[in-house]
Amino acid sequence: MIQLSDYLTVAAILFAISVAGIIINRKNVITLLMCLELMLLSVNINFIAFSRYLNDLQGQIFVFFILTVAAAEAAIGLAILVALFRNRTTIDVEELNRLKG
Amino acid sequence: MTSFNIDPLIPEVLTLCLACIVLMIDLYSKNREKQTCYLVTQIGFAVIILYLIGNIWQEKTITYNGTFVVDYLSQILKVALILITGVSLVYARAYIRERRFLRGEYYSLSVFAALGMMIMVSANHMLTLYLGLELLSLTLYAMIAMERNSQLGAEAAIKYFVTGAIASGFLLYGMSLLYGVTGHLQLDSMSDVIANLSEHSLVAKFAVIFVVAGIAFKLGLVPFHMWIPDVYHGAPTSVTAFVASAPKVAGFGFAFRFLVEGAQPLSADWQQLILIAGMLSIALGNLVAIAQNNLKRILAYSGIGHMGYFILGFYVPEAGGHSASMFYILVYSLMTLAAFGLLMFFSRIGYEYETLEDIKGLGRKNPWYALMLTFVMISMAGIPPFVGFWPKLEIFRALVADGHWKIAVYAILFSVIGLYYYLRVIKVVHFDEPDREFLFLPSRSIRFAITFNCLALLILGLIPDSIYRYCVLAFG
Repeated sequence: MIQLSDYLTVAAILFAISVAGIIINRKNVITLLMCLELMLLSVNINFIAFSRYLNDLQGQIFVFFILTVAAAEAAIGLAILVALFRNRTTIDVEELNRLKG
Repeated sequence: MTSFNIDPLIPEVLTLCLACIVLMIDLYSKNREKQTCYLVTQIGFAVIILYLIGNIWQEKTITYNGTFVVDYLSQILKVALILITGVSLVYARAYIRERRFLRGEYYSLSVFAALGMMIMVSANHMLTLYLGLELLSLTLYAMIAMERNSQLGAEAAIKYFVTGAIASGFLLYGMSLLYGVTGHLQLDSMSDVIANLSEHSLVAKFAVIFVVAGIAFKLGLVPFHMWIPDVYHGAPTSVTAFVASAPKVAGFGFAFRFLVEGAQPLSADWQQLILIAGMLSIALGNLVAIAQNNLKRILAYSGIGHMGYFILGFYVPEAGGHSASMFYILVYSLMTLAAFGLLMFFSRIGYEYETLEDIKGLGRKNPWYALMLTFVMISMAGIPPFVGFWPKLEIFRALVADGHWKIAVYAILFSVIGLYYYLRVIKVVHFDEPDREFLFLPSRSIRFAITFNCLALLILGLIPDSIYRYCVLAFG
């Protein structure tokens, strides 16, 4: 029998992986975007597990909204990425260093 | 079944209609300047402000199945938000005309951002809070990237996008845990459940840490401040002026709704986090600003410092800390609008004055605008009789009244250190020899707006009660 805590553990592990991915990744902005998506999805697992456990629909409704917002966010993120690539011909995280001081 | 009452939602509905109308006008208007879009936006804002002022006395009512709250606080914050957005558009108009931005989109995105902020300050449900926040963030990502041929703008946008998305992720993770522990998404019922929590209170504390981290990201508190200088520097100045002012006021509303109304029983825990973040921000903001040469970066670090002072009000709620914080954030956005408005005015294409060397000797050539810059800097440093002094005083008073005089002394100490870089700007402007001619944006409206905004810093400083009274009433 899969318990609530199992779902929460998976969600926590996914969340940790996404944070680690954002911090460790020094190469590519697209990987960053993937990590951000993963972060939101791990939250979704949390919400659905709690929603099922509490027998309350609100959590699942919340997940719909998160999914929609995540889609919009990905669209804007990729648009910014295109603008960045057009101006700089690179999407390497290491080379995003023109702003400093 | 009770009848559906739309009254509490009218300001938001009007703002949404305004945004859609501006989009449509943009589509059909042949004029490249999009004058009509601008006029309609400003007239619409004026109508909404008049409506809000007419209905400003609201008893606290929670409607729409507990997702939405209308009270005096939310009405005042909404008036302030729309006012700030409107003023930032007055400044932006000449700036974006010179740089050939997509003007219609700029105006409609601003209106959408205002809508997101209005939802944030009157949310009573985690879903409404989240959606308001995302509506604001998504429009800001797009606005920062609007200067499409700018390398710095694109870099600033991607940095803001990544940090903003991480902040949302943290916030959501905290929200999901709070939902699991309490079984409620509605903030007031959540607060009731937390107060009687016997088991799982550790999980609730754990969740609040994530929420505080998310809020600190959005407000730009140390240790989550790294995006602020880069974004302020890289974004087009007109967008910087907007990002630095109105979203901070909305951030105050967000923090108040979530932390005070939603997680009040856990205040002993989150107040410690906020105290540490605030004290670190005060130190880092004021110290690092000394080493900066670019005016936008100086203002960014000074903003981090200001956020530190502002958040200390949440630490001493019994001594009137919330109204002090609200006073602080309103005055701060007024000052920061004036500061970035001046920078916008100084940035005619080919004559962009951004660093301290660039504005050397401005006072010899253009004494009036040098005087205005002096007003802003003195006000930000917190010297009476300018308005920047009063909220700082109010924060220190609240700290001392609650017995935290050590923190107050610490904050005052760094306020004195911060004086150095504000005064350095004044020194460079007035006492250095000019080595160039100054040419500014050729626009009468921005000139009037700046003069008006900067003189307001002095006049409101002489009658500080004109703003503070409402801040006290909002929490009275």
